[in-house]
Amino acid sequence: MINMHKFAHMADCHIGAWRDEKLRNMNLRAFEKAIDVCIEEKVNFIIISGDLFDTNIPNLYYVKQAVEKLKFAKNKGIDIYMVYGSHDYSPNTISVIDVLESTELFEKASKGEYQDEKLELQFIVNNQTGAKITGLSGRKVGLEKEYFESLNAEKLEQEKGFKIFLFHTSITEMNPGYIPEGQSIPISMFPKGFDYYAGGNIHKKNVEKFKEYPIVIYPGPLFATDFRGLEDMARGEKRGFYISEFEDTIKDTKFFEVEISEVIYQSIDADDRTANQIEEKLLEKANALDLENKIVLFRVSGTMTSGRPVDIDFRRVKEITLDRGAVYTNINRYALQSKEKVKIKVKGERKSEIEERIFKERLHGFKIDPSIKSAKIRKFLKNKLMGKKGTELAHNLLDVLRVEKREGETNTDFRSRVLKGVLEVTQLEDKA
Amino acid sequence: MEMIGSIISGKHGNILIRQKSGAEVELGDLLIVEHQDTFLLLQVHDVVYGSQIPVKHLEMVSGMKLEGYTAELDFIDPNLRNYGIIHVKAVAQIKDGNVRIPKTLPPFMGDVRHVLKEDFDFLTKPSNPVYFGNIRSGSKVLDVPVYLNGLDVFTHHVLVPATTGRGKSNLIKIMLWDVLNKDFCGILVLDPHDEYFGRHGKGIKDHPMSKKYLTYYSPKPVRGSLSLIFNITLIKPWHFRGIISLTEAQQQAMYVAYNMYQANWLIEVARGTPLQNVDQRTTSVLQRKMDTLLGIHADDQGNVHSRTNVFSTSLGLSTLKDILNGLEQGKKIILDTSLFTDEVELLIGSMVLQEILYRYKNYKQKGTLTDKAVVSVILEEAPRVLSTEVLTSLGKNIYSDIAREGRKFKIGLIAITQLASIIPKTILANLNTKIILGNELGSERLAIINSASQDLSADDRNIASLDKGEVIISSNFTKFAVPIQAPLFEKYIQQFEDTSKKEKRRFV
Repeated sequence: MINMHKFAHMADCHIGAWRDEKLRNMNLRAFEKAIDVCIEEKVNFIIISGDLFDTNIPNLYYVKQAVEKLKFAKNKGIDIYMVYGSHDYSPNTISVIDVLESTELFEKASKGEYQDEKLELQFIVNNQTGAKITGLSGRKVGLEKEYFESLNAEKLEQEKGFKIFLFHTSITEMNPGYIPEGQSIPISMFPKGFDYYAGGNIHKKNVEKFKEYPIVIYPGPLFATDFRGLEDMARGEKRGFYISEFEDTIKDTKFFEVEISEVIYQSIDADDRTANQIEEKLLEKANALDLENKIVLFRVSGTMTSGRPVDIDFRRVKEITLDRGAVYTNINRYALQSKEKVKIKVKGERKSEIEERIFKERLHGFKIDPSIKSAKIRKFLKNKLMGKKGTELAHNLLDVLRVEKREGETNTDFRSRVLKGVLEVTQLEDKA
Repeated sequence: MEMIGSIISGKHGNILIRQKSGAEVELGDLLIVEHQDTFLLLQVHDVVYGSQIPVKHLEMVSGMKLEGYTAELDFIDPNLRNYGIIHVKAVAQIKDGNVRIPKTLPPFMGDVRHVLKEDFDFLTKPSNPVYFGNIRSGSKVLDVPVYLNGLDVFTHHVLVPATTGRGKSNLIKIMLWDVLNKDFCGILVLDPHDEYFGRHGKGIKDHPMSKKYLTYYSPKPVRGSLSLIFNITLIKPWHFRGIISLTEAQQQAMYVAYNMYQANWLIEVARGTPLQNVDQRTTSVLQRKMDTLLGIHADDQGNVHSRTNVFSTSLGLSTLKDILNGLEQGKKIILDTSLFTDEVELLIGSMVLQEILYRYKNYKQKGTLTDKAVVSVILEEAPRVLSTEVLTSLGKNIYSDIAREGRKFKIGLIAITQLASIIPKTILANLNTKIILGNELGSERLAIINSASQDLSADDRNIASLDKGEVIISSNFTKFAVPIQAPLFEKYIQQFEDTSKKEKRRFV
């Protein structure tokens, strides 16, 4: 008789995300809760489809908390497998994922090498269940497409047994609409015939079946990583992960919701209202709603008939909500305009989307200095700074430049760490 | 260059040349007659016998030979007495590299010769060039590539009238191959025979730049291509205009459903949900039509499905947007519609075209249209949406709208048909480039000739005799109807084999 086995699939935990400490901690708590459920449910192994952390080198406090939780699960006999996501991967520096893998806390599922022009992936076999796991990590701007294109899929398809494919890539057919063009790949690029396709990167719970791809799942994040994610939660989007039971094929798949805090979202139309009226409306809502232990999001948008956004006492509104028990309040006023002044609009809601658009726009207008005559240098600059490569470089540079000074780190060490990162990302030499 | 004849008589449009003995001349041949610093390009539209001997004498001589009276019987100076008469028309007058429509007759008794490659030095490569083939003189192909300005040609629509087996798909493949990496034009191919991508052989996918510029959607995608799935919420009531037969009441019911349920209107129609102020019988008929014509239906639990899987309630949310963005950026998008009914195929085309037209109208209003790629749609069996009968019974549709006003918004049609004669003259007149392939049907040739940009009234026989791959391009953007030979696709693409070295890659 074959025993029924269990595995959990989670993705996009983004531990360390959020500037606000309360939200950052809630995000961590969601991860800890999810692991606790995995232990309770006695899963044999956990797979994490990328973006365990929000950056490749996150704040060490959150690394410590996450490691302790994973270690706890590991000690309970639960194996852990993961791939890099687009956030916790760095092409040039060692990521915390690499460090943790070296401690054998978990195993990276994306193992393989190029043989001639083909990417040959290897399977990792889970000793407890015999499940065969392989996958591909995510990279910034969807550059993992290169891996998929060169993948020796036939070989993977021929492998017998219960197989899981991990990935941190958006599937075009399942694009919920916000994944930028060119940053997703068609399902046909995936090797066929796996029993379970464990996806990450799309921040929306989604389960689909395709011909020759029996079950493709994006669990979405465990909490939220930005305000749009919180707004989605307020609109009823559930957060959590999946646990599947299997023998030689998947027998059952269940979604386990991770509830951290209820989110209330209120939209206020500023059209035909003065600054005072908007403030009154906000106060009215702040006083009328049950805010106890809830995350409160207000979005004020439109063009005011008189006054300016600064005339509205947003701080007061915020204080009232917190006094009334809200755990966190945010008032989004990016789309609020006064008649006197038209704000510059930046399309996109997510931080990454805004960055992406700005880089693309800037790079679109980039021209190589005509005084550079050398064809070799021009070619080098074109290859490095323009198009997709340019966008990738800009992303990587931004990642390197936005690292925070660590506790106890001297200014000199911090400067040299950042410089080292910049040199590695740009592949330039330090002539100083 | 050897003379092949000399001009002896005729009139403008039908000049007669006495053929030199031994000279080979065939229908469609291009000939040259020079006069001072001008030369005239002539095209053969007929060849007949000429003789100095009365017909009854000829009959007698042939009778004597046939009946065995004498085997050695012959004419004295036979080449002087019997010869060929070539009927030509002057198609272009070239002086100092400038081309004009000929208005004068060539010199009487002027010497005529075959064309040479050098005679076409006046043909320059335009901006935004699109290659169709090489100049053809009769059945001889010259090393002179013919390019037309794609921006002009695509915005002013193209008609490809052709009967089966005359090389229409080959020609379209050549054209698509040539423009694939040219981002001045985005082309949507509605491919009901799944013949352009090259699923089972050579096709556009083999272009070295296909990864960047080609997107292929299919209900049965090959590795790397996309599933042709549209989210059902992307379908709007106006996409059906002129595509499927709906009564006024049914059309109104669709709009009521849309007003009530917005993006989910079709889901509710498929479920048979009652609509405000709409007779239940109308709702039921609409529900049935969506089922029978489009395959959209609901199961017992109210879950909506599409029989062809082309419409989905959960997948394909970005398909329409991706296609529109691709076209706008100059990509070539092939939609494999081979497994769908006409209605589904035309509805998909209607969705894309209505939305791209809407976008481009907005761009025009904002003054940014000039930065956008011209968009053209290749439509097979065009009379399905452009015939007089369809337009009369179902009313106007997006395809006829584009034929009428698309050029103002940089959107054009490439209409392919075996039956140009059933397309209304008003539409035919708007399709300003005709790529004419062989056609054995007299009525079809007449419709093509009557709507051509040049006077092809003498070319009926010429068109009838066009062999596979032989083409005449008649366009507002050419000074004369250009005879060309489209190369064989499989042979043509051999010169483009990708020999670039692959970068060594690292896997992490």
